[in-house]
Amino acid sequence: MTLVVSRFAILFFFLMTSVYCMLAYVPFAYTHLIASTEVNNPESGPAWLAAFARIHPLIYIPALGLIWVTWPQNRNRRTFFSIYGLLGLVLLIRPVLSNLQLGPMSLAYAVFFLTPLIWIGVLDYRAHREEVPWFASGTHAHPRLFFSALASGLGVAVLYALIALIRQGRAPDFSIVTFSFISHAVIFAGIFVLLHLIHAIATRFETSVWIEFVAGGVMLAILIAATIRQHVLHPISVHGLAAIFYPASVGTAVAIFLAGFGTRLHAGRVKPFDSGLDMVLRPLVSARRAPFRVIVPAVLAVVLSTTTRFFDWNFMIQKLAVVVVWVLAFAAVYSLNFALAPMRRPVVFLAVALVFLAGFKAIDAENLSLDDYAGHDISFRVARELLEPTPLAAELSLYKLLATYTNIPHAVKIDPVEINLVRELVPTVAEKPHVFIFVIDSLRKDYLGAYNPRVTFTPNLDAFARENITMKNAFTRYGATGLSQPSIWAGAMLLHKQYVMPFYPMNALQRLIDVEGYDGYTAYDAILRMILKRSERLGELSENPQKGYFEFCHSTREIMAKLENSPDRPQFFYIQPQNIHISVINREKQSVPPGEKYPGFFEPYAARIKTIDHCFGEFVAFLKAKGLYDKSIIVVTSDHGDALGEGGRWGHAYTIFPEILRIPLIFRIPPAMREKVSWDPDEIAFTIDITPSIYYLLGHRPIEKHRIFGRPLFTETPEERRIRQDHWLVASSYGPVYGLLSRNGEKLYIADGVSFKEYYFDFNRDPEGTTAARLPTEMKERYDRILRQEIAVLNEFYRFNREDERRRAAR
Amino acid sequence: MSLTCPDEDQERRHSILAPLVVLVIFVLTIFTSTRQAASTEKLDAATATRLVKEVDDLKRDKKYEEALAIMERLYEDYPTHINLRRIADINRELERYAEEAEAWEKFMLVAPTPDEACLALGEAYRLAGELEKMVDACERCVAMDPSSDNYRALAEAYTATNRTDSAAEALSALDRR
Repeated sequence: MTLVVSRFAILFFFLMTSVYCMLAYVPFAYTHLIASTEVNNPESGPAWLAAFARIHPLIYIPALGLIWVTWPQNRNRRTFFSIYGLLGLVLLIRPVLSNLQLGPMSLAYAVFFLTPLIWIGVLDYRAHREEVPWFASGTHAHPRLFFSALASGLGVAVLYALIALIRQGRAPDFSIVTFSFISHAVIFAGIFVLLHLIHAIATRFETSVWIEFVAGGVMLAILIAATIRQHVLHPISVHGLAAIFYPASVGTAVAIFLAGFGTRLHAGRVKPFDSGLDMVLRPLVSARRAPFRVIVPAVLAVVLSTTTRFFDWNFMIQKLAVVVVWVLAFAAVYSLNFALAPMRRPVVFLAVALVFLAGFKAIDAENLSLDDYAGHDISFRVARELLEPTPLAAELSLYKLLATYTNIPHAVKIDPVEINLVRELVPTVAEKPHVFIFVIDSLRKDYLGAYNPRVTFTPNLDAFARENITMKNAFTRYGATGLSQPSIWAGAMLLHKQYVMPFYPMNALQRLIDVEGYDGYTAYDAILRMILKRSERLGELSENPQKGYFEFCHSTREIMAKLENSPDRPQFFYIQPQNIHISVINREKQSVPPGEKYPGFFEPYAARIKTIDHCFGEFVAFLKAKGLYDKSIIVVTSDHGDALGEGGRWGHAYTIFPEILRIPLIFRIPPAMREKVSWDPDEIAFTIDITPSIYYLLGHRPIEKHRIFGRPLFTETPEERRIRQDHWLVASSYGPVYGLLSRNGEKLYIADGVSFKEYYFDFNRDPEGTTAARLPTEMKERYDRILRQEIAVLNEFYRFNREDERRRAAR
Repeated sequence: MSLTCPDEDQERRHSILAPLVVLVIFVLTIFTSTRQAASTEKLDAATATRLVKEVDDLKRDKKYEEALAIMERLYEDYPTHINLRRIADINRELERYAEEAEAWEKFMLVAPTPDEACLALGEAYRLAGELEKMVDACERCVAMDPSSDNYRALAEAYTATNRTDSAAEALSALDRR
């Protein structure tokens, strides 16, 4: 048992180290998970990741110790421990993980830290291969294979259906569950057919067990590599050689490590094998007692499904867990080695597999609404993704284009293009009101009474909305903060890169503050630290020291204190409080103050909004008491919404579903300004319209018109804010997922280049936007054409052409 | 190499063939099935007539996006001026004026009486904010059909681009007629 625990601890440690280095190679992951961990930002990496990097050299030593004590007998330690011992010393002097930089060196480290696994695996194998009986028992293996595949497939289908039942809180449609079972049966029948073929080929040779052992290891390596590539690297836009090389390295290292370990565990065995698979799967079923072997994957499935869903990255962790559970379940059932009557005719089993396949094809799945169920039954989600028809060539070409222009790598040097919302930015003679921009991270509009009459916990924000201007049809252009927040400052859509630097030429809002001589203060979160130019004009607001993040009440009290000191000078404040960010809610264990109830709402989220509302009420009362309320532009909005269980989704990751794109947008304009302008609260409005609106209100006119720019929402004549477009590009901040909002925001088309799917929402027919409608092929083709055009317009503005860039690189 | 007897050998040869065939069936069935594509065959006349009626229904229900998508598909197979007029009309409803103007421009190239597009084309350019193109369209229209309506449109176009002298000239040309 000690050996098993030690080996898995070693595997876990080196894998974690490698994954951490890989994160530093990916621009998006580096920005949000590595570079900003010390600022304890909810949008950035979890604290444990930063802690792991800090103490990595200290864990490395005991990890080496574990390798020492489990070292294969009669094998020379000198070379291994000379190299890796020296590395340990280097790590102590100059830790690698906490000094990683974005770039190819991180990828090199990621692969290097896999080498101990390969070394140990090879040594284990070489030390013990002579002690293993490499001959077959001669038993027909197909009944055992068939039973293992079918039982484990249907077992996980039942298990995840039960988990889905608990997660959904209601029984799913019988036909959908049946389809799920058949889908699982087809996949596991396919696995059976493949393993059976390998077995059949292997048994033609004397070394059949060894051949199956190698083939099983290769299959495991391919499975690991494909899973990492598809479910981890593709969503975060890692493409090209790195997307092949790294998953292949991990798959190879883990497979060799486990194969070597399997050999060691079978050392001294006398009884012949049924198949070489016994060797490969042995490390995965280390529990001595048979029931425990089955219980382990079941418990793992339940625990991971219930604990990870709130902070998961669009099902990424849950899908990885499903693949692990599938393998463990198969290994567990296989290890039980039920004594089936040896049937000499495998054709019967193959025929059953074909019957499953025919049954699967016979079901008209198009008529089942599977998306919602697949959000709760993650095993079915994975099965469905595997079995779904391949996208058409034209669709693949679009997805390729989306991926090409998404998360443009750090190494690609792009010069900034000035975003000039007016021809010449010079100070105006207009009176300068105070400007307060409150971007409440992840705030959904349907959690404010101003937008949803069922809400009773936001009386202050509702009163504020009533006496001011509520844009009823507001959206963000970007899912997630990465690009949403910078786009608010730019007043325009941005190139999909984090970030084009220096950002200042594109930062229309900061340039306005500078030109107009505002005293500014902002909460410098991880993103603003990167994009804002440090200047005396833009001071710093602090995090709440008790909570460790930018918290609304702390920030508003800080703002009130600043105003007390100099109420007469025009001041600018921008805050992005993180009270209701899903990671903060999870960090605070989804706590709800005792006695508070919010039926029909996600209570931890609603409770925190109530707190925000209370402090907002205090702030407005302060402004009124000081006579500043009528001298202030106040904007209350959010950078994006959030998924709170819709279709099993949580958080905002890289999706741009309606609950992510819809946001509140409430303006207060000083009465003297208000009486001179008009607006249309029902017209489509975006967060990128905030900066052009402030420009206009401060007297900077006319506002330049461009498809990628925002527009002033308040103008003296309707013509000045007239919209000359019917489609608005929206995108995810982090993945190749783009969309089009059309017809004044009545329709939303999404081309999801991560899951290769399209979604279409018609808010006229489905105001909540909970169910994706079927999209006629003609319309889809039309939307795809427009999507390409809109992306071309964006790239043209920023003078970026990937082909040109590639040609330059080639030269 | 094999240590088995001939009978067993024969059985095992079969046992390779069967899973191999089944595996190929699995792979072909699962991995080569693609999503349903739009038909690339030319729409027959009956289908086209049905689709035109469908477009009319969609327009009545103000579902212009859907109507436009079908019209564009129809236009691919039947590039007639009638279909271009329908596309332009739907784009007007969608307030997509640049696309409307594009459709009218095509209309003028293929229609037997291109001047039918004149007023709408100028208006589309005006709404799209393309005032120079509006002037150009109106000048072409006057050259094609010097009707009073076209002269008035041209004068308006000149006025919109602050060419008051030209506008006055256009109006006096109208008076001279």
